Amino acid sequence: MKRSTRVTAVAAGTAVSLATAGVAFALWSANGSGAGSASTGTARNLTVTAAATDAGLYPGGPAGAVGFSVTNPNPYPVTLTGVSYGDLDASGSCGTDDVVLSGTAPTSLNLAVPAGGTAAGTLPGVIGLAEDAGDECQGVTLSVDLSLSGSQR
Amino acid sequence: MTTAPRRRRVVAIVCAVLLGTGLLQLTALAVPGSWDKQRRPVLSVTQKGKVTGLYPGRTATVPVVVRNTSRKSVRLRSVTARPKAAGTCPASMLRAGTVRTKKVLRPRRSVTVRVPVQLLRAAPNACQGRTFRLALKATGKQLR
Repeated sequence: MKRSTRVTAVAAGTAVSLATAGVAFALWSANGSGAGSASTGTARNLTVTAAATDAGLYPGGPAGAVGFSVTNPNPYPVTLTGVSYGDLDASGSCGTDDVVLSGTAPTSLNLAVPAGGTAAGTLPGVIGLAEDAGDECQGVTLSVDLSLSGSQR
Repeated sequence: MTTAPRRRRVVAIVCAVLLGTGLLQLTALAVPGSWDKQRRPVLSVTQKGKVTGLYPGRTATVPVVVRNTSRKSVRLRSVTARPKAAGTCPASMLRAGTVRTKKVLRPRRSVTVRVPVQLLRAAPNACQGRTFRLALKATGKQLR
């Protein structure tokens, strides 16, 4: 009986020692942590520049095309898909009232502008001369403000 | 006084000491920080340089410097960058990878590991002009 008790006690002690050794071995891992950061950029607006087109307009005639070029300052390509129109204007003494925006002017387009590059486009049938436009509107340049929209390709 | 009871007492004391030592070490593991107070982290982890100009779809690499501060060599296992939300831009919009390696870092030496990060193409406009904070972590094993 006494012998039995001692063996049990020694066995328990050995078990505890082994468990401790196991824990100590597991502590050999080597870890570390720290902090860093990564920032996103901000999209920059594209620049739209008017390009002259010989529309051959005359009073009451069909609307002519509008040409433009777009410069993309962003580091990624952009696809322009929407267009809206603003103020109309005419050079010389031709009045703004003599310029008309076509009711069928396109409101969508599909123009890819490369990253940091430029692309040119033409919108057909946008502006024309009113039927009552006078001689002062001969040989003048008509213009319209364009607003293009799109997203990263 | 016989010999047997004395022997039993000695065995019991030895067992108690062993048990106590084991319990102490287990307690050190169970109480958060109690072991850390005794040892500073073996690996120091810092970012070298800045990562800027991310946009949807762009992948960049974060240079992470891992230094072995101990006097023993360490076999590096992994370096991880975990992003935190940047304002209204969720953390899930920045995909950050884990670099697995088996490089051995000698004592007091450092190594630069490049961890890839990518702003997902699904990132909304709210993610423009934001800075994601990254929790960097390096794991390894000390060599004897």
